Amino acid sequence: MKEFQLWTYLMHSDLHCMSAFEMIRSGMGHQELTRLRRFGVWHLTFESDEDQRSTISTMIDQSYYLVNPNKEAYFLDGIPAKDSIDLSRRLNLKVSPKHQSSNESLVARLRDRFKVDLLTATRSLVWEMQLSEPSDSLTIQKTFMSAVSGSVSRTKGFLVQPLFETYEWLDVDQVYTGIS
Amino acid sequence: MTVAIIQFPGSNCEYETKKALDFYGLSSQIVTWNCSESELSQFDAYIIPGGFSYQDRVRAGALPAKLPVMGVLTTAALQGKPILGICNGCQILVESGLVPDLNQQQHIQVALAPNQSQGKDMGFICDWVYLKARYPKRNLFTRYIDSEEVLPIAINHGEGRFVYSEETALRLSELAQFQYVNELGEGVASYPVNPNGSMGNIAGLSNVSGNVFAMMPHPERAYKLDQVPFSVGSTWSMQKEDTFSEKESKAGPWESLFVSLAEHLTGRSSFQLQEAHL
Repeated sequence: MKEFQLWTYLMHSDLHCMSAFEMIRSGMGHQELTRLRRFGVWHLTFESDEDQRSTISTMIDQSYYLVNPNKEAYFLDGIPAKDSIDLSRRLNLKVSPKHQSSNESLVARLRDRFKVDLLTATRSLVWEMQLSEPSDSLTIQKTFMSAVSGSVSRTKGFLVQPLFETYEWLDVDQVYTGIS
Repeated sequence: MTVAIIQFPGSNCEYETKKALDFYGLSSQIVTWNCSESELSQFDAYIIPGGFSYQDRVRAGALPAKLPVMGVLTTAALQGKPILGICNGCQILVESGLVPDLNQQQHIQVALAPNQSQGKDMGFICDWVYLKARYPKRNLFTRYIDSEEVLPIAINHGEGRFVYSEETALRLSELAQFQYVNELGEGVASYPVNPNGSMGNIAGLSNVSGNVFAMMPHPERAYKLDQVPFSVGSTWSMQKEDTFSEKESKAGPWESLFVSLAEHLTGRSSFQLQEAHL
């Protein structure tokens, strides 16, 4: 059994992101946030241990089930890291539903149409945040992380609703590919 | 005595809500979410209508709940002023911690998750359902509703599944609530009776003091008899047929909710706030 991750993002303006960015900076007062991006991540599990990257590309090219090419683009495995990026300023928050939809009909459709041994297809969101200070500056990081992630306080917890979502702060090697 | 109907960017039920209030003789005014604090705090009651404020960005109700207007409504709630949230308004009140507010610190204790049924995403649902009230006397808006009565009502939402922690579940009996039931008044946990998979079949919930109520279905779409479709097949649609020869509209299934607010505001029958069990 092998899992592959398909990172999708909107090619045009992401209004969810724009509003969240404004709210975190202006409404919640976290001016240290300088950039926010949102990715939808498909976790695709296949029965066999074979490399399924070309199969996934075929599924994307020949159907709209996983990616809508009119408005979305994608990366396989993770976000390619550019040399110019300072990863120490990046934080990545993964948000998943507590009760993931099984997406049984989607899996059945993909298996049937592409004759693949796909087992599961679940989806999470990843918010990629860039801070003005290096994210390993612990005080800033902790304050910021607590402000945007799961909390019962009405002034915090903006990006996660802890009653029906779970979250995880991802390490850079879980997000970016090509890190030297 | 005037009710403020708060219009956020993306609200779309403010005019129907105003029509419903007019029908029951309540004075109301549509005000924008960014009006001044002094203007907003002059009103005697508040309704947050349905719609898609801020296009439901991030999640329904999350953005408006963090805006200054909700600070004004928190003060109003603590003063005992009536506040009703309908559909998107319900989502905003829950995200603001004004409902159920069990410890009176505006903590978020309930959430409205995307509609699901038996693990399957249900998407946006637009339908008529039936509700029954539980502990109706514990909230200003529901106090005149008979707990045995089965009331038809419209729903239109994609994120209406009430979820809450075990700790909150233990205290639900302190709160007035609406539950999804079938035509006979029986609670059935599955679709279509419980259309969105809400825990405890909950469709609406009060705060602990009883002056704030958040409900996903739309009472302003069933305030007069004309609005009830024959397809719901209840006694209400039969009553509607009986009134065809009459020119004036008759009061509909949700009369009690609006009348109760009117009587409280005019002082004819004031609601006494519930004592919280902290």
